[in-house]
Amino acid sequence: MNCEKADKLLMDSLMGALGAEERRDLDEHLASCERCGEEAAEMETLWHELGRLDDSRSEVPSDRLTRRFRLALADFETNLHETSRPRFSEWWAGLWTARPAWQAAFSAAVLVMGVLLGAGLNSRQSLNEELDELRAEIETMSRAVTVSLLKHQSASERLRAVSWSRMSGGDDKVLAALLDSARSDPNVNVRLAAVDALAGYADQGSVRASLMDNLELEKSPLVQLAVLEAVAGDEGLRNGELQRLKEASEVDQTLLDYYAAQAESL
Amino acid sequence: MPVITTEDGNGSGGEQRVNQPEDLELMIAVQQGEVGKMGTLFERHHARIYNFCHRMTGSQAASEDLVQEAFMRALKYRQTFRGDADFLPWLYRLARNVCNDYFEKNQRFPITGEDLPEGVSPDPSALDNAQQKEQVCLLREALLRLPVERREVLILSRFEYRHYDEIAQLLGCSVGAVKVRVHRAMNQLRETYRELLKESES
Repeated sequence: MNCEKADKLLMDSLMGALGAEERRDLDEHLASCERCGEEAAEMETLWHELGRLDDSRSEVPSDRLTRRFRLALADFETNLHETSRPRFSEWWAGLWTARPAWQAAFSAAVLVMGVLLGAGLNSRQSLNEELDELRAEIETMSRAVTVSLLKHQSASERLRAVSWSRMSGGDDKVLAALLDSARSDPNVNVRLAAVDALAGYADQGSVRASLMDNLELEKSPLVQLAVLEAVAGDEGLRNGELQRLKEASEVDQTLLDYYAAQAESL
Repeated sequence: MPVITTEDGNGSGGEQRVNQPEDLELMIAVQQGEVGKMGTLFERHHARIYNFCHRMTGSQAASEDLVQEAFMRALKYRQTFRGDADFLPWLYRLARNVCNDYFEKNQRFPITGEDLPEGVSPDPSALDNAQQKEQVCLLREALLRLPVERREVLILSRFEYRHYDEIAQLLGCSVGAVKVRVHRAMNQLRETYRELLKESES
């Protein structure tokens, strides 16, 4: 046995982990090698001194330690029993956290429902909005078409424009264009159609005044009759209107006589 | 020629082996909800764990806190105990962790001999003379000056009366590694002790 091996076995010897044969070899080496012998003696002393550290101190922990642990254990036990009987909310919360698959499914269902509901509401709303927008666009377009068509060269196109004007409602621009046509369109049929279209708005002050003004210029008795029918309606001419017409030489005498007789009968 | 005395070093180990099945039963009962049975395990082992903590820290007050903490952790982490392992090594591992946490939290190294409370200083009547008393104090200080890992392995091998294989199981390393560590720890203890002796002589 060499010194290195002896050094290794020394600790095993102190730990009581040596076999009989190994111990005999070690003892032989320590007896023959002075340096290893001294070192082994020092280590052995240290090992035993280390053991005596324990002999000289109180080994037993105080009773306070046991009492403290008993109290802590009782606390722990109480808390454990309290938490082992869960209230409904805790049971529910436990179920919620214990089933991630359910959580995911429920969340997904809510999400899908939300998306569908939102899409449904939005689409209905946006459909209505779009329809309104379309309607407004069509009206604007028909007005523009009406106004521009009323200035068309072809009389038949101007007639079509008058019939279009009925679709675009009582827009100021359309009415103004119609009044213009009723007054100055060179074609009698267009003037007649325009007056016919304006008949519905004859109760509006400005339309009525414009139509009355037309009578002073209008030479066609047909148009004169149409205007007078539109203005007078069932109620007849208003005070002063017949007098004004009598002074205007253009209006046909037969028509004037007819309306004078009507005014008297009313 | 120096006489190498050998000791079994496992006086309490034999007794422990008889008790172990019961430890295991108690611990399994604790795991299954009968946490009160930890009280029996405490009665049985708290002195051991206390001594380990006391040797590691050198402080009686701190050791009592550490024992309490170790057993509370045993309760809290009772489900981490594996039924196929022994109870005591598991408890020692908890105690080691508690001690390490204590050293981390308290930054400074374990208290030295001067800090030892009077209650744990050597009883003078048990010692032959003043010189021996001083030597015991110096050795205690040398032990406390060792790095935690070396002090730990030395305490386990010298005071806890354990076999190499038991220490290896506890530390989670091989028997060879334990032998190397004990050897190095003893050599360092000797060096430190020598230095302290020289200082006190001069």
